[in-house]
Amino acid sequence: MLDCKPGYATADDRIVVYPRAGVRSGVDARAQLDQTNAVWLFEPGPGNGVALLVDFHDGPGGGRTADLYDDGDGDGRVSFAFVAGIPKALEHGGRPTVSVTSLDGAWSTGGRPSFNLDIRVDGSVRASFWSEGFLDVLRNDGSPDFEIHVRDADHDGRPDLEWRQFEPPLPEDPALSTYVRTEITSNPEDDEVPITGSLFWPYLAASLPEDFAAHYEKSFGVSAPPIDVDWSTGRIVQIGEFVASVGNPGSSAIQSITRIPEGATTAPDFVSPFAFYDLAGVGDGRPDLSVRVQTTLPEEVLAPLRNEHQINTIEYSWGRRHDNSWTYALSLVGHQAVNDTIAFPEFSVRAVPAPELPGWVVGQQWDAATFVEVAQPFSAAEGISQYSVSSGDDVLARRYLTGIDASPPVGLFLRIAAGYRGEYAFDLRGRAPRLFLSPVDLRLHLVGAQGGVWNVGAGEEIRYASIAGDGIDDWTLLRDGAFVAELSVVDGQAILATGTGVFVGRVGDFPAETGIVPPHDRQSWSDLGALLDSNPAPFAPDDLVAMFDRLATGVQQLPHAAATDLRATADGFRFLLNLRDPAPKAPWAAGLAPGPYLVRYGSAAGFVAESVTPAAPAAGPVAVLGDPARAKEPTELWAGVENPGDTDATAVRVTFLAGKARADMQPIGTTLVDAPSDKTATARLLWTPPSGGNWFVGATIADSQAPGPLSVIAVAAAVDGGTVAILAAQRLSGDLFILALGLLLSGAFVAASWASRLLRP
Amino acid sequence: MSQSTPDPETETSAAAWRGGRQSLVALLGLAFLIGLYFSLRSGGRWAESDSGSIALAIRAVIDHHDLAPDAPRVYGNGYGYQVVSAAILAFTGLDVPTLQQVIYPLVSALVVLPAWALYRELTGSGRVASLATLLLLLVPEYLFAVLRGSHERLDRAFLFITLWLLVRSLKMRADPARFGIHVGLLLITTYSLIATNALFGMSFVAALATALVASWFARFGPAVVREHASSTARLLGWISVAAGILVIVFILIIYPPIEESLRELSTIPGALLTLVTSGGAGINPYASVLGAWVSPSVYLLLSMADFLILGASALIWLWLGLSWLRGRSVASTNLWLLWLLFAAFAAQGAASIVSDRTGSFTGNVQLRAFSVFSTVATPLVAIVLARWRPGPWLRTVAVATVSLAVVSALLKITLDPVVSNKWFFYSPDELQGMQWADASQTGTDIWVGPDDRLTSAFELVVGNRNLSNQWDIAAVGLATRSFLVSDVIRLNSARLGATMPPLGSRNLVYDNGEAQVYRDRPLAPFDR
Repeated sequence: MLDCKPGYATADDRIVVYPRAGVRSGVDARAQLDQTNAVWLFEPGPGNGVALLVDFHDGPGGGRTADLYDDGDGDGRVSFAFVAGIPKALEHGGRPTVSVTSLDGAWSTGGRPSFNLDIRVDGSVRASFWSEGFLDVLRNDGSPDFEIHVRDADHDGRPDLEWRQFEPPLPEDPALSTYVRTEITSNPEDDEVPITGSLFWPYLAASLPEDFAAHYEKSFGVSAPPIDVDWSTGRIVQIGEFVASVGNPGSSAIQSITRIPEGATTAPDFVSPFAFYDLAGVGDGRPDLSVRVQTTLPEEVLAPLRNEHQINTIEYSWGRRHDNSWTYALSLVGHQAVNDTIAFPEFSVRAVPAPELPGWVVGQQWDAATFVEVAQPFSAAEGISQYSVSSGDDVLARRYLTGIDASPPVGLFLRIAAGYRGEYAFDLRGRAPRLFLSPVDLRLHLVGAQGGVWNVGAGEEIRYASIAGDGIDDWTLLRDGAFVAELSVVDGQAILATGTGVFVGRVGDFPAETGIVPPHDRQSWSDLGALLDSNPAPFAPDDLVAMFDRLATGVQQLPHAAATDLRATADGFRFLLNLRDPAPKAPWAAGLAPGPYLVRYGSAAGFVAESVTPAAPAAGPVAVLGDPARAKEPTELWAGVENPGDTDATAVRVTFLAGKARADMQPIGTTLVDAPSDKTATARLLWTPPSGGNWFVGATIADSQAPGPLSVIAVAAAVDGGTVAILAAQRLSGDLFILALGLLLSGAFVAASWASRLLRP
Repeated sequence: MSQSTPDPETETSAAAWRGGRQSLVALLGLAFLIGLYFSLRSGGRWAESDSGSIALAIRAVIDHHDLAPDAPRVYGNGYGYQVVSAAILAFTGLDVPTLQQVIYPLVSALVVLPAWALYRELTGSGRVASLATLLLLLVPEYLFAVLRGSHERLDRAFLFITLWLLVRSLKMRADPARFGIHVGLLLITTYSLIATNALFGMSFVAALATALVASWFARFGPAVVREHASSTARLLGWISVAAGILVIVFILIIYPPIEESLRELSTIPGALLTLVTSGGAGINPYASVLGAWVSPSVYLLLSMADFLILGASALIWLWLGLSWLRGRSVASTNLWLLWLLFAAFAAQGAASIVSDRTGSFTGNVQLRAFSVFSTVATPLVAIVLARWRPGPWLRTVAVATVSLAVVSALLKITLDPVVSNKWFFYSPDELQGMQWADASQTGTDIWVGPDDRLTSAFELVVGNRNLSNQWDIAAVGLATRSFLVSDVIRLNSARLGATMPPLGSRNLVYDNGEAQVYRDRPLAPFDR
């Protein structure tokens, strides 16, 4: 008996050992602690009830086995009986909750613990990362709920591979139940930290952390004993990681909803893999790049064509410096087929091997991407997950990119947490992810980004937009949602609009660093760091004026003017200018009287101001979309709405009319459309013609006096739902029809004749 | 008094036996003709929802080699029908559609045999048994249940055999060996009924228990029924308990998939309580009935046999009960047992009227209960008809009515488009279009018509769809991206007054001449 003061659970605990061979005389107490053929009772607290019973005995194939029994009836104690003087557990019908077998034949060799283990878990114990939500369905019933395998190929006391099979009493078919069935973690660098804090046996934790669930994953630099017991309730609560799944450079984890069985090659369908890297090569055990690949879940393929292949989602975070913090993150979504194989001794998986993964990611073509920079130091175990392509319940990856939604989720990506800035590219057009260093704000941006936002904090944010370039070229500063300033750099010109007026100037010689490959090896990581170090931003992030001043030459000032609606044109750009004061310093505006103007810029003509033509939407002729119309079936009418004006017309009400004669034309519906300047919008209306024949149709703008041109459309007669048509539609042959009719009459005849016989006169 | 008393209708001579044999042949022939018509009316191309679901369940059992496979579309209420079907398929090499659409409707004629035997045993008369069986073949709800591709043909067969054994065991009590054999066989057939459909099994056990309770009380009733009541109470007591144990063993141990049905069953009292306390009328199970036929009068005409047998049997049951109260002797214990079973199944029918208000089990429990109820209602009517001595004119009217009833039953059970707005025929081209739509698209909601006509056909003939696709019926859903259209779908929509989806702006991506598949135009850059 060992009296533990202080103990492992309270100030006064006890461990009682019952060697099956009996207590040896003349041997010191420590040598009596037999872990080969003995039963150990762990009795925490003054009451000294047994909270855990461990039965050490010979295992299969010359191995060693330890069966762990915990409380099964909720009284906080493990009940047992003495059989031949040795305690035998009675809980759970005498079934162990955890059974650990060392394949090495000993729990430790030369002071190095055995990590060639097979572990079976039967009952409500968290023994895999994703099982936490399923513990209520697990019972100690003689059928294992988990099979854990740990391997240490070189027997150096550091595990280098573990895989866990979760086998709850739930359907095995992933289409019916989407729990994670297999989790694999490998550490090919073989650098797991040795276990500390064991209670006599290497795998049993001496104490239970208050937030033990958070300690399922290994923390940096620590290997706690994986088997956690709640000594107060007598329950084994958790079997944590043997091999760290996150944070250790060189390690990688795979988690799959489809089971990865031993002896086969399987394509995982969840996380495959999640890997960490030390690009700086410091070797301090800290990562500076994390890459998480998530593939399509089973039965999750939502839509057509493109998603016949799996959908791959990547979170790719890296630190600008190797200082235990993350600075940038790319999030990507694509539909690549993965044909690489990661081979393990007992099985193999279809996934990109961790060492090749960063190069694979930056070399692949992707559908859409987001890019994030964290402005302040940010430290986390796994990387940056803010503002990813999976944000908002995967609406971008699973709805827009699959064609379910017609328009991208712009609103979702115009919000970001304070201190973060993010950019989105909803259509990368199948390109590899590349970055560029903008000469305007001297920050990294995503090539192909269409917009973004920087939440500077304190109610201030910068909205990014792409007007003409293949990335961000427009910065709008908002304070508490109100406009403060806008800086656009388009076609070699910089245009700054502030409360004091509009400033235009030619952009000086500031070549942009474009086509930067995200860091994927030591050289690229180091090169990017050097580039950023050599281009520090000499202005505050919200100082658009400083950015303009640094860039622009030959500045022309339009005092108190306002510029809006800047957009690209075929040979430059245009914007609406509201001139309030004369602008003598701008030659092209010097003679203009205050008022609204449309300003066009072209490389040949320079700036030219014209008077503004107001929006004037007009509806064109109406036509039937698709197949000819049929009476009593909905048909889609459409009409073009042109707006030759210089300003946009929004929410234009278009009314459709129809009638059998011109004079009888009546409104059949109204629809709203936006008609941008110089473009033709389409107004559509569903209409169910009440009858066939020729119909006059037309469309008119609701507030306009001028009706649009009339069209005549032919409407086919309604479907004839009469009996003859229906019988014909059955396509029964004449013979068959006659036979059926004969049977009908025969049945009537037989019944009648027999009824006649049965009814006595 | 357990033995049948001699009855004017009782025929025990060799001539009567020959007459009974001739009747059986004629009834078998009629049942066969009905089955043949049921199958041929649509050229063998018919389907309805339960037949489709059961076809999937048969395939699940075959594919997984398991009575209760861990797979989608496993049948939740029992395995018997699937196992019998799997065995037939294995021995004959037939495929599921042929078995369900062609063979089973013909085989169903054989249910006439145990029905006749039961009625013969109950009434002691071959002529009454033949009349009762003939009446049963006029009840469309009974015919539809045993002809379509569902477990009910086996349920009815097991019900008839079990009741036959029950009635026979009444007169075997003096011979322990034969009595034991009968009761043993009865429990085997009861288990078969439970294993085929535990809900019907529970209904049967509940009916036995109801009859037991009624018998127990009747022992204190009029003197003329006491002896009969004591006989039936003793027999039903043991058999009810044994059958109840079989039900419990089946649902708790043998067939876990039934859990979902039990859960649904358990919600009915709560739903009823909510209905009562909220003062609402609940779901109207009759709302869709009239809309399913071209007119209410046609529906009434087609259901003529249902209403006649329901009304006549209820009056006869009342008349018998009242006559016993007035001291008229009970003709036989068997008649007493029939009277009890009628009351028990009628009580279930009344309960189903209430339960259907909750919408449980898709609100068609009445329909299923009536099909079972008709099996004990027809012999009551036949007993009276056998005593009837109509004049020539009335006899002609009666025979003409039977003739008309056969025609109307056949029109009703085949959902003939001449009279029905809900159809169960389909064309091969429609199925071909569905197969193309399912195979050529993934993750797509596909509209396939105003009702479940084609989804049932697909399940029956083809099997499971691509799991990532979804069939849409009736209203077009927000996520619907693809549309199957055919002449029959247009006609069906027109008949049902349903609006066809707008197709003009959609791409026609498939056309086999009879059926077309349309698909939404791309919305997003990636939807190409």
